[in-house]
Amino acid sequence: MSVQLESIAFNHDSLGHASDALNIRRNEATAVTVPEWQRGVSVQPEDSPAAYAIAAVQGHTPTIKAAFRRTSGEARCVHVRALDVKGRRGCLYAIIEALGLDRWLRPPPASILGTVAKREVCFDVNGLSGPVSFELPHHRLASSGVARDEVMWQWQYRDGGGAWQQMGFTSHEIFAVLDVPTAPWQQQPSGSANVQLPWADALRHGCAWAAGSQSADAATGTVTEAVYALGGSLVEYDCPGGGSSHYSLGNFDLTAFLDRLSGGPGNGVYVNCSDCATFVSTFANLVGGDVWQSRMGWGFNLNPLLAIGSSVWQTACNWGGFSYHEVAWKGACTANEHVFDACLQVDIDAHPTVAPHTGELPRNMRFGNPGDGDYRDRLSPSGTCDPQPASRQRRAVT
Amino acid sequence: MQSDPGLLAILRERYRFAEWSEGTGGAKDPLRVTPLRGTELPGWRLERGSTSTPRPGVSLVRGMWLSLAGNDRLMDLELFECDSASAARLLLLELLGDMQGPPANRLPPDALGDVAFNVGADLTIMFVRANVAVRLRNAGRNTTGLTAEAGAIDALLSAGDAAR
Repeated sequence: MSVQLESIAFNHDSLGHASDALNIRRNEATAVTVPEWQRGVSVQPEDSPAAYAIAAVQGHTPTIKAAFRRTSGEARCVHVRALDVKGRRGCLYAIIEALGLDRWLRPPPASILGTVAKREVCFDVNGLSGPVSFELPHHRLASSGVARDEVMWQWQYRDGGGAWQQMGFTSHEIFAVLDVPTAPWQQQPSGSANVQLPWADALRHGCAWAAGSQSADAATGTVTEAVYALGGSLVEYDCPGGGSSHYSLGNFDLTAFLDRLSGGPGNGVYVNCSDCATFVSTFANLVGGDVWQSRMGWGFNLNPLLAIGSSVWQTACNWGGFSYHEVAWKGACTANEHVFDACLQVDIDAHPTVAPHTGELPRNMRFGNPGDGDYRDRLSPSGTCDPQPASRQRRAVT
Repeated sequence: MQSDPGLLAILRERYRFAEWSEGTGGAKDPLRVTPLRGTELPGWRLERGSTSTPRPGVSLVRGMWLSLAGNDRLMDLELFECDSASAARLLLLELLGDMQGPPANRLPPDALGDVAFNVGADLTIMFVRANVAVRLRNAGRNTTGLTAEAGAIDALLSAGDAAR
């Protein structure tokens, strides 16, 4: 009697996400096929990606659907389970505990999906089970916050009351985001032609940047920090080109940006405010945020600022002013809403026009009206720096 | 890529758009931009090329070029094919408005294309030839003037070699 695992589907219901994974794709060119794990096809965790929306699965027990083949023997039904390799402590840890060393030597936490609960699997006359639903009762999605995890399961079966027999190991790349991604990301239509489905290649960066975040504001703030931190090594503000956009003219050239993040040329080293606002908004909205790309303008003077990739406080390339500026902006994108700006640090002390400067990256900072001491006053001493909510958008990804 | 009407009104005034908004050519025998082959610019190697439709009526052919001189110079070339010469000029105005910094400089009428602008010492050049708007920019930290490259692209457009 022997049984082998044929496939595992994480996103087994493309119309819902309360008990299964989201509809995702790998990148612009490549879709994720379901079942995500297939015998002989999936080897590395990245070969089998899945993403869960924490808010959507709250109060539910996620399930996967796995299919099996009986390769020998006559048993009509067996029991199947999968152990969480990360969560197993083993004999060595029992010794460590016995010696009282477990205060210093802690095992790694269990994987985000935990174990696969045992259940009965029956085979048809051809020895096939078809997709069988398994519960993941020990998942940690409720407490993980934004996360990326590599889950490794050890699959086992047993016939009647016999010993558990090994079926092999599978590994999966699992993303946890706070809620169903907001625009430009979509869940429908779920077909492979829809390039606005969340990209696993983008989730890999977004979940790393916002790791552990438990709220949309926290996630958007950490994404803002991460984008600004790309300055110096990967990107810098576009002084030679007059501050023009390199990744966000029209749509967001996410393919080029991911190429840049992976060490390729992408669309080059230079970025402007529209690029930074688009990076923040798109990645934040992927992991549970909900912010726009919106502008202020049209023509205003600047206080000294610390542009992305620069170590010099100056008025952006010493230009003195901006014709416009663009940030990631909440809600209606008016003076009362809050902004996230990964393009520059502003001076938050009592005298933002002169040195010394007390720099702060605007994260969830109210835009404000002149004299309020909010973002607007920190950025600009004079000129027309009014919110332009009609400009708000969420650029499609390409 | 659609500029805000308020910003567009300011740009029309800033760049005296009325003086150069109406172009000729493109209506009867429009230039058709083809995907980059990598042979268009001697001394440069095409690193990545792409085609897209940033909005209805506009096709974009884009290429990132690495200098073969071994100096880590990277150049971004964009060719926007529009429905008409007038549409290409309006798109050029939008490209000018894409800059947060000070206004670009208009080049003399016979310098390049039908109408052209630059930033700095030709670190960025934008021009229109018939129904095609072109933007060349430095994309690497080691910057260089792009006068010769812009001239080469304009010559190809004029000869129909980069466009058919």
